[in-house]
Amino acid sequence: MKKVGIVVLSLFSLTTALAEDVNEIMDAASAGMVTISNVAGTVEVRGWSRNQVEVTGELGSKVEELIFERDGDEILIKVKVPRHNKGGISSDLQVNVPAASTLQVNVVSADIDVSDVMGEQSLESVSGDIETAVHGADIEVGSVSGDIEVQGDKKATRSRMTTVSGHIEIDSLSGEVGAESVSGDVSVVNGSFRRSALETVNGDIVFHAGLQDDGRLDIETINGTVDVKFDGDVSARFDIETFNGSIRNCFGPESVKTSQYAPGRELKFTEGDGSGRVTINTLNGSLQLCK
Amino acid sequence: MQAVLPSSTGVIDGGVVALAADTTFDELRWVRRAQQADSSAFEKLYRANVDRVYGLCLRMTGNRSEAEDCTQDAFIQAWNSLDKFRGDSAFGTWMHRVAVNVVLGRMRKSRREQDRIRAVSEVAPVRQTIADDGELRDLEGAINELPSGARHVFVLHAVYGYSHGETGDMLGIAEGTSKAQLNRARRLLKQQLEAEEK
Amino acid sequence: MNGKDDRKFDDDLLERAAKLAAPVAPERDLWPGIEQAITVPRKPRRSAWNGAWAQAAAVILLVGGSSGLTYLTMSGARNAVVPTAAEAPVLVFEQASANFGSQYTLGPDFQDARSDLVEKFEQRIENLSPEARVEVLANIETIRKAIDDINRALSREPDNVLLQELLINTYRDELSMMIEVDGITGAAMRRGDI
Repeated sequence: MKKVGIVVLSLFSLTTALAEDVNEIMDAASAGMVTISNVAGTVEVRGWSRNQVEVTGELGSKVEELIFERDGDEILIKVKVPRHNKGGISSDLQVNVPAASTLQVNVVSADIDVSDVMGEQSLESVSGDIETAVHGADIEVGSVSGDIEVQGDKKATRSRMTTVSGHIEIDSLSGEVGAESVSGDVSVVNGSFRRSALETVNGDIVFHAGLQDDGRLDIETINGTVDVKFDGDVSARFDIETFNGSIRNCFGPESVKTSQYAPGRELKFTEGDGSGRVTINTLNGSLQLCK
Repeated sequence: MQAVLPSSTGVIDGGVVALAADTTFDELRWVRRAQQADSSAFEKLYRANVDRVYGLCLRMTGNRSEAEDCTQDAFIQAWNSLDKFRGDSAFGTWMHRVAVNVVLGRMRKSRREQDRIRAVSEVAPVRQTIADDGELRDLEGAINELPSGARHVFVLHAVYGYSHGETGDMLGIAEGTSKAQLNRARRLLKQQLEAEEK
Repeated sequence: MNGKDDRKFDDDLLERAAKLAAPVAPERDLWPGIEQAITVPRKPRRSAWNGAWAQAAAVILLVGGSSGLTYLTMSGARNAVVPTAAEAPVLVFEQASANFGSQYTLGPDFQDARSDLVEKFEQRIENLSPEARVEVLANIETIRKAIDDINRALSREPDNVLLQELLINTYRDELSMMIEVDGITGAAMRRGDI
């Protein structure tokens, strides 16, 4: 592929201990892909109306180079650090991208903050926190221990958030959402869903949002608590089971023991015309269901 | 639906077997290939039979979502026991038997019985109907409300036309029990349908 | 209610009932779920570890989705072609023999794939910072303890469907977690940043 426009900043910083300022700009496709890679520090991305990508900020004193290159409709921004990290690599990047861009950001411990990007997003960190806003495009966000916060505008999208221990907070998303964590909490508020699958091992799960007719809500946790409260009417078959936990149901029907001789409670009932489906399974967690 | 006198013959596993009149040669070919783990041949069998299987599952369970699960499980089970299909009945008929087994198995497994649900919720659960015709929809709804034993017998005997002997065989009950369940179904349906007319 | 009315009702009933025998098409195509259950899952190839969605595809191939979510493909550099998540899990549980109690074991395909992953995973996390590695190991412990808790309950109630489902899903969580961490860490390593 023909490379168009390469800007490489090399920093010879073996003797100096100063961070370097960055201020570069490049023409870009209006709806191309932008990939940003950093190790530590911060990455802030803003969508704007220009068909250009601009990078400003400060690079750590030990950073080897900032790669900023374009290949067709793809742009790569990458902070290169020495193989054996001895500190001084923390870099803060502010990146403006064409609003319709598809965005990929990979970091280790840097925090990620994205806004006004209309295209699809894929954001990953090991321990950095991730905050983004979604505008009708699909997104996937993953972290090991960073917290994830996603703000939607109620337009339907498909989104998936995964952490090992980070907490996941989702506000005003719609459409399909999957959120999983081992020990982080998962919270989905506002918005209304056609499909929602929330799963943790130990984390607590909160769903305070709407379920569309024919929608599906699947919640599973081993030890976490579950708090479900529907916005508006819900029309669904409910199938709820817990092994050791308690069930509190505002909809009326009481749970029954699944067996005379063993722990375990289940609650199956239908609300409205039963077109949707709500499934909740827990081992030990207590469960609350309200409208 | 007994196997009719063969009007065509075919070969399965090297032997010559009499085919039921409504098994096509295509179906036989697909079965043979599927028996050798050819999943695209099995897909053809699926496409040709899914509506019949789903229809039966829907009538037996009264519930779209369970009918979907039942249909999938039935085909998966069919794949796993395809070597048992000898071609002496139509593949579709054999799938019916597999599907009935799945429905019964799932019921045992999930412990969900009509009567238990009635005890838990004050309002009877809403089952799903799909018929366009108002009268048929009434009947559909009424069938869905039957207790499971009566419903299964009614669906197999009255809807699908299996004899009491065949029905008993598929459900694992005596022929006499099948007749008794049918009477019960008729009585309950009559009550339900006449009550609705008022 | 005289006999003639009854017979007429019966005839009507049978006539109507027979109409319900017509085949009905399901609302969605059920074949993908069936196909997935009948085709033997492949072990994920080592080269396929790029992108969270390719990882999700590997998890799906091994264990099947449980909620019918449709995964997305992203335009651009990621070339992961992701199948629709199917409802039916690929795992088949076999009850261990009575001598060992009612502990559930996983099918051999799954066990192989899991040991592959665990090995790779243990190498991979060496490359994480000490804090991150400790965090990850603590969470693996959390999952394994949950598996133990569930198995203990299952040994008293081997037929409990809820427990069986929770067990399968927790094994799947362990797998997903290893794949996810592997992916995130791997991407960092390929960048030469760690």
